[in-house]
Amino acid sequence: MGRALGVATVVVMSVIERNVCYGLDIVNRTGLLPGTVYTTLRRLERRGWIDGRWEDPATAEAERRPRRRYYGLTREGGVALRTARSRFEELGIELPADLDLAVAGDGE
Amino acid sequence: MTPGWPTDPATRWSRRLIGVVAGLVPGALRAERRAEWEAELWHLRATPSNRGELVRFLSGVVWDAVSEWKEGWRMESMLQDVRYALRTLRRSPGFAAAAIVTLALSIGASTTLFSIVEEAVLTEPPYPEPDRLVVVDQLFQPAGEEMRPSLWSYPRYVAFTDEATAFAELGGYAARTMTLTELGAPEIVSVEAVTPSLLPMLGASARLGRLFGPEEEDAGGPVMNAVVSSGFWERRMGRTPNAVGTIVILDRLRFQVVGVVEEGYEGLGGTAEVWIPFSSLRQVEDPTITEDPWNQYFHVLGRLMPDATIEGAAEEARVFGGRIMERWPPPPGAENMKSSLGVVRFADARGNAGSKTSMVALFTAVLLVLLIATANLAGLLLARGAARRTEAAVRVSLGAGRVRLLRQLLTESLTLAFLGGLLGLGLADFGIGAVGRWLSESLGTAGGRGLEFLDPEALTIDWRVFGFALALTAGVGLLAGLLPAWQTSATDPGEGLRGGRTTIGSRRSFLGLGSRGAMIVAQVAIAIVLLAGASLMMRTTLNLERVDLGFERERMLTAMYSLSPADEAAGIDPAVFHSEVVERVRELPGVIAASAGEVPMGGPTWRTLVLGSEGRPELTPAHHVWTRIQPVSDGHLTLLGADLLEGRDIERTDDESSERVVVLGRSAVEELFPNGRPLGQRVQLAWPGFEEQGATVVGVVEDMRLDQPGAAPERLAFVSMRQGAQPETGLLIRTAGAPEAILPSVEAELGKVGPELALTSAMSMETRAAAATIRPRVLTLLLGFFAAVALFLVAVGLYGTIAYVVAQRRPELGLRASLGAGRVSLLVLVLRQGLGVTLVGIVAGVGGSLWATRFLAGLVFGTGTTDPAGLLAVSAGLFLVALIAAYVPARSGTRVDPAIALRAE
Repeated sequence: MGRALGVATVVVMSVIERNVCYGLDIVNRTGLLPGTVYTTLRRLERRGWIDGRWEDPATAEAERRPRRRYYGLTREGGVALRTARSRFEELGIELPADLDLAVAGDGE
Repeated sequence: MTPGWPTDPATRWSRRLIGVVAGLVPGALRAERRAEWEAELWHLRATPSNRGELVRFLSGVVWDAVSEWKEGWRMESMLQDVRYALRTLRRSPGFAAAAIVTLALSIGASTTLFSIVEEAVLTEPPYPEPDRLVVVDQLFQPAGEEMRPSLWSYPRYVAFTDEATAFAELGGYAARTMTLTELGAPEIVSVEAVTPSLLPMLGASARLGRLFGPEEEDAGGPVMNAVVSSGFWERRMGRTPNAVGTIVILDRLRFQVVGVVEEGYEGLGGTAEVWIPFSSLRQVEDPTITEDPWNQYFHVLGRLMPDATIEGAAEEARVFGGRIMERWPPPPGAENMKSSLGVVRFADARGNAGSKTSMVALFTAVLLVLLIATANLAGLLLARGAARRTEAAVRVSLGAGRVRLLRQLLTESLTLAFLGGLLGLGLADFGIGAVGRWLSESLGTAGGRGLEFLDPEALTIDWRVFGFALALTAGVGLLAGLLPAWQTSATDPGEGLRGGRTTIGSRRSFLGLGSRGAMIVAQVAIAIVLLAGASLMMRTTLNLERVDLGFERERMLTAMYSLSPADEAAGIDPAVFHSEVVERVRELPGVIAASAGEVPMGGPTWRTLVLGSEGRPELTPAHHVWTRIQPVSDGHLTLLGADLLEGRDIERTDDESSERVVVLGRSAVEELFPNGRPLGQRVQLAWPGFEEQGATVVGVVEDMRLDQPGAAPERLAFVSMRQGAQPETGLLIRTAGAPEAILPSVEAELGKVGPELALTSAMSMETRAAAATIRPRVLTLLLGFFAAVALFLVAVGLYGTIAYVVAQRRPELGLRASLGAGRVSLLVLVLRQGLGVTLVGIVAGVGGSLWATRFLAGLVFGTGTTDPAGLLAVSAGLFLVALIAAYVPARSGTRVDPAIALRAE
């Protein structure tokens, strides 16, 4: 494992851990800037910690929209996330616990 | 599949932007990213959102695209650079081939030598905890001479084992060859006599049976047990599981095999097949061999205690060694010796100082050639760089960054180096086997302690050698590429595109040649150092070949054999036996003459004390003189072709019943009879059969060089075999035809005389003499080869430089020509530049070689390490080569038509 993970990365991973998400989904749930989210996703996918999958074409066809790309956490990603969390705990850094609440107002 | 896209301008505009920025993403990912962004955009447009959100999203997309572009650049452009480099190299195959072959040769040679140096000098001995393994040397210093290494006796060894505290283990070994007679033809096998402690100390273990133990400790009688190697077990015993208990016959004595050593252990000399305990030597050699404190015959190894230092051990050994003379009073004649013990790290005891110096000299030579090759490659790249200034300028003006350009050029030199390195590794793979065997033969023999110097089997391209080659390749590529790359990339696009060149009045350092001049100076200097070394070694080889050995080596077959104590016990008298062999061989067709005596250059030698001489009445046992002595058959000196100065050769009538006689060499006479007239006078010899009565001097011969041709002649004495023979002897046979052709009939005659015996080391005297000088000859050959390559590279480098300079100065030369300068004056102008740097290089090289050739001291013969005539010749030769290399391009370059040259400006 390379460098220690930053807060934004851990937040993005936490969201993905709870729900399989697409890009703007994560932006809405975390309040991070889209640029940050996209580059974080690319980096995590190269490391093999998250796994990007294209939505089933039939679903997209039915809704007459382009196929979305969903991201889920891999087993290695889960391990890395737990390590990072416990490190934050040691350092006394609190992660936003109400990430899901951010969704509440989203109307989804 | 067509999604229903909203048609508002913001969405259309956003989709167009996504299409544009997707172009930044590397090809493989482009479509995927674009689809993802579009899906996201669709989601954004389909849900209520404000303009700010759209802007944030779009800038996120741009950011994402840019970082994908950066990532792709990192991954891809390296490959792209390599592809580009390969393409450029294909366009100039001549340049590429020259560079790659040069690099392959020098990287191949360096890697080959590195693998050998690694094995011989750097690799730890293959024993457990090699850094605690030491050799304990017995040292003696006869009065008026230097302290020199000697051998241990068993009682002293036992005392030392009891008293020494710095050593966890100690063990003794003595290398022997014995005749194996059973199961087929007699064969000579390599045997090591050892103390029971030795094999376990070196990590050997038994695959069958056991190694030596308490049973084989000396208990006052011979223990005739043996341990054999896996190779012997396979070769001679057919891998029988019942090997333990088998009897093998060595030197006609029965040994019982008690164990087979695990595969891979081949003894300290690397060739042993059988191990026997010291106590068996009581029967093999001498019943008192383990009791007589002055019967010295073995070396001692030790393993230091974990907490002991080598200095502490050495001090303890020195104290013990200093008291040897008082504890064990020496035999008469040796009372005035000083004694000591020395401790040497095992790794340092392998080979001798000379072998290691040769290795280092060769390795240095090859690295110097590599340096020249690097400088040459740099020169070539520099010239190409200059030729490609326009290309560079175009690329810079199109927006290529200076770093980008630098990287491209470095990639090019690294690609060249890599191709050269690959080829060089192949060459090394081929060369390691050949050169390794050659060097181990020529350098390994002179160790003195019977320790293996270099195991040719162990020479392979292992990870260390591979790493070395890789580092070398990378280093060469970077070094050769950096300078020209920097210079080329420091391009002002304007100047490059205008086609501007350094023309008239440009001022550059180093006689106007810039960094290329500096490189030529370095190359010339290095070549001079190499040539000086090669010329020294060549002179040494010539001197060695011209040395008058004092005997004629042409058409002479030499061989040895040895009677065993068992033969003597069976009543065979060596004197009678040897005489009969000689008589029979003399009768063979094709034999002109035959005799028994010491075989020069490789045979066993004996030395004895001369305890008194009528020529020096003051000579008492306390002021003895050491002399090399050999028992010979009649006619031996005549057969050798020795120069008989006075008196006569040993004759048939000099037998047991007649007066003891001796023939002395000139140096011995000068020592023993300072006033001359030795004939008829008597000397007292401590030689078996001569102790009771003195020997009468009946002849004087010119000195002979019986060992290395380069060694100083020794004092020599020849006595009649019939008056004091040894069980071991050499056979010398002068033949009418090719010496080796007679060997089978000689072996047949030997078989007829008596017990089964094998001839050892049968070869012509010419072969023997060649083997004795192989070290300087190999050094000469290799140094000469490297020097020749260096000289060639210098010539190529100089040629290239002058051709380049002439091309560059063409407008200036044209201008001068149009102003009336003659061709000769133009030629001189150009040559002066090239030869100027050559001269500077020669001066630097001569200085360097005065320092560097000192390391060849001890390897040269008949010349000092500073050889003014040789240096002068080398310098003149190099200057001549430089003149030709510079003249050819200068001549064609100065043949300019002023009009054409100036038009180009």
